[in-house]
Amino acid sequence: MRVRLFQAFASNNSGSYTLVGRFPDESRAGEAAAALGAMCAAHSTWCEAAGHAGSLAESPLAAFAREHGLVGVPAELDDHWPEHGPPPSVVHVGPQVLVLVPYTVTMPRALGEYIYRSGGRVDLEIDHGHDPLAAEVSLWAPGGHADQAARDRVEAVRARIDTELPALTARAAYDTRPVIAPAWFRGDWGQLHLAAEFTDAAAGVLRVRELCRDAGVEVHVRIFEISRRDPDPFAARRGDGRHAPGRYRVALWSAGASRVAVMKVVRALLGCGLDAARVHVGELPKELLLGVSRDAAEDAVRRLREVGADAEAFAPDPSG
Amino acid sequence: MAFAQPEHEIELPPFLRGMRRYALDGALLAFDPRTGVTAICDGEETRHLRRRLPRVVQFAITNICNLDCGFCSRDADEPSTWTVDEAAALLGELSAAGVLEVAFGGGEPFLFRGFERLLHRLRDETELAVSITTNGTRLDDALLERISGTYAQLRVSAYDDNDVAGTLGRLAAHGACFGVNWLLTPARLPRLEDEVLGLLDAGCRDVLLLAYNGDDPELHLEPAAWAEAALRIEHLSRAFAGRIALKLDICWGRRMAGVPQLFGVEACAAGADFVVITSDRKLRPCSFHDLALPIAGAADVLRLWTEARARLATPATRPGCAREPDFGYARLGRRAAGLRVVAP
Repeated sequence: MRVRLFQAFASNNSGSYTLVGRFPDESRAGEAAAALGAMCAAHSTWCEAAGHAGSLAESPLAAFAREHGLVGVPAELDDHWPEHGPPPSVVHVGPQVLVLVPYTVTMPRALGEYIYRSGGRVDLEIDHGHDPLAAEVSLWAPGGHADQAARDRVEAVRARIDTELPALTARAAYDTRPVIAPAWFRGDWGQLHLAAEFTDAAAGVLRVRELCRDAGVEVHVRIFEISRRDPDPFAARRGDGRHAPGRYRVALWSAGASRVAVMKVVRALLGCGLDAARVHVGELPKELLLGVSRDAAEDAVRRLREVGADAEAFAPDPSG
Repeated sequence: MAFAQPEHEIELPPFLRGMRRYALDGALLAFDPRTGVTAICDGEETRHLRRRLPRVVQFAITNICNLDCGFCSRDADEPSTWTVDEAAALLGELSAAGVLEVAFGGGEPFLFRGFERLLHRLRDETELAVSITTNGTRLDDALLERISGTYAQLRVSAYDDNDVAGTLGRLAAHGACFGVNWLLTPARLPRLEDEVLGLLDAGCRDVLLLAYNGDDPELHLEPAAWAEAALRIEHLSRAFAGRIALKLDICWGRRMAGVPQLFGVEACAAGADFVVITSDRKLRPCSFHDLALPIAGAADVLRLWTEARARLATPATRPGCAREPDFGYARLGRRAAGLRVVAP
């Protein structure tokens, strides 16, 4: 008998699962991929026959775990294997092994365990992944943009939020992706907006809102999806939206003699606070802008060089 | 014969055995009236089962209300014909027959004379899970104390003028199980994220997004806005997963097809899974339906549920019904320039 348990009409949407393991050499990666691939194929067939329910004790996955001394196998099938989508695909590319499942709730921990057990490391595991979500928080103070006191309150709370953004946007320990720098920018009517991919969207937005409320500043929130493949999904918003999107990048190699002047330009280009600009200038060399148009990149380089910095615009693909 | 057992004899996993049982078509539903935990079990053992009565009774016990909302479908001047004793008797018989839940609405149910007494009787005399939809204006600390333990869930209708945050604060302080009903209209859509965030901030963990049913074209989401609304609801649902549950009213139908839902976009179950009992002793498929069949008691409810199934399965005439390919928007006529739906 199949039992589906719920308390309300909450969604049970499925996501993708990605595991990337790295081995010291290609041959060991090939062996691991072959073993994992054979087990995944056999286990998918077994799950189908079992109706995607019941004990896993006699499954190919459990046998594989016993053979390799793995413990990360659930007792019941439950949501730990794709039911509706295609079975897991396991490939190896050079020394890397990729396990890709486009549509599942989750996958057993034993897969990652096997990578380590057979001499590799897990580079990346995305469990129940969808493209990430970002939040855009718009700030305004009663009085409007024409009111200097209101503008001052907004700027003050921006500085306060800036100090907390690194903590609110930090990646989890297992997540090796670089943090996407939050973007401050002004809209057509001079209103200040913050775009950020918070570690926890709800916690991040609630904290920003709390800080704003304490300062008498109102907020409006939008949640939107950003592409995982986009190195800087906020590029078009940075610098008050002056950077038209494109394929160019801007690297800052050195600050030169006037670090403060460079920090001011960095702040303007990135739409970040002074503290964040100080961090950027302290971590050189650094790619300041990603995914901007050629004109925007060249303009940024010109402004940086005007204050003595060594900066360069380039496209990753020479044909671009 | 193992595969033709009545639902109460079918073997269930131990953790489901104490729950109330309800036969679906080909499946068995187990329900805990205290927590709302529900299990749908299906297999060879349940294939023969057939639904034989409504699972939920929505009870508009009074039409009287102390608010005057423009979108409300009730005739607030129509007095209730029910007494506490009569309502308790009706619901007691329905509970004994196998109905699992009663969901009170109205009108404002807390304006029904003797409503608190009715809640206590239902707790003492029936197995029903009691849900109450209220505007919250009467829910002061003393009342919440008096009705503590008599209901499974309170649902507060969020309007722009009924101090929802204050009500939610009191409910949270009393440890009540509660949710918010929020009517999603074109004027409210731009504030969707802010409102949900505000409700989360106020302690709410459950928001039901209602679709409007009625004749005012200004309150219907235009087809051009459906996809955007669905996308934003899906994003909110994911972003706040584990913090707040976003639920969709069944009337949305395929208008919110883009939002992942537990069992996909289901057909409207009005008249089958649930029925409405009105303040003037009529049986309706849903609150917005014009079909109103007179009833004298529980036996009539159960008889009409069987005999009038075809009529109970018809669409409501009020625009907004998911049973209509165009959601009844054509009935809005020329006033509704943007409300043109291409039927699937």
